[in-house]
Amino acid sequence: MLFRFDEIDRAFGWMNAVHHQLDRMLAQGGLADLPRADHQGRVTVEETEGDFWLRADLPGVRAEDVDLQLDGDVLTLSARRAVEQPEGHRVHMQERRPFEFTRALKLPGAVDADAVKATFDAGVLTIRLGKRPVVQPRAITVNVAR
Amino acid sequence: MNPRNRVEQMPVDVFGNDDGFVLVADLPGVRVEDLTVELDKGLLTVAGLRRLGLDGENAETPTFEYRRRFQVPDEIDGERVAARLEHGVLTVTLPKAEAHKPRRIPIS
Repeated sequence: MLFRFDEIDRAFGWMNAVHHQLDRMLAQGGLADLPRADHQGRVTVEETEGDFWLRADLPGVRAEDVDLQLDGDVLTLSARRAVEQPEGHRVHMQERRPFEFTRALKLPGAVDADAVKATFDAGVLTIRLGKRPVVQPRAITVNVAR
Repeated sequence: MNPRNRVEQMPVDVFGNDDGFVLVADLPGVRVEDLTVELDKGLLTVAGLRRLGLDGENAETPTFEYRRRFQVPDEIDGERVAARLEHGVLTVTLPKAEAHKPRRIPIS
């Protein structure tokens, strides 16, 4: 065998790590994850005081192959990529997978649709969703004439 | 656990033909300045620091390292190994030759 793993590589499992982190992040973010197709993407959701943040690992995905939609409090992310094999080459190792998935994430709070910003850097999609300010109930003092 | 001590492996494809090998690795979140590709004594090491806080606004977001090593055949010409990082995907081309000299590979 021309290429082989060493001990470091055997000690860690890629998909296990993905699932573990996904579960943890969703639990921390308090987000309900709607049914989804299998994919390799790693998604992190965080909540700060003024925003929700979503980060998705989309290595090798072109910007035009990402679709993002916000409908009320549901954010839907779709992405796909192909994995190419160079022509005339033998395969020695093949772990990278093509994927095509759609994920719908229900946000725990209202989002200001005008305050959504997405950036794509180093194969990571970052989405910032500004929260819609909560209208606080006001106590009104009413003077009653006697 | 200090996230900086965390190491994960990345999924990798390796293809080969008579001219050499091509290694492709998914490294989302790794920028050129945080990536090292090294060939020394027939051992190819790919290591990249993954930064999730891409906007610098989430300092608590875990940072970890991708690291993986590969035994490469002696026939690889270390002088001509090239690496390219694009959209979170690293491509290393390893042409065949006689040279065995260890060298650090510049990343474009």
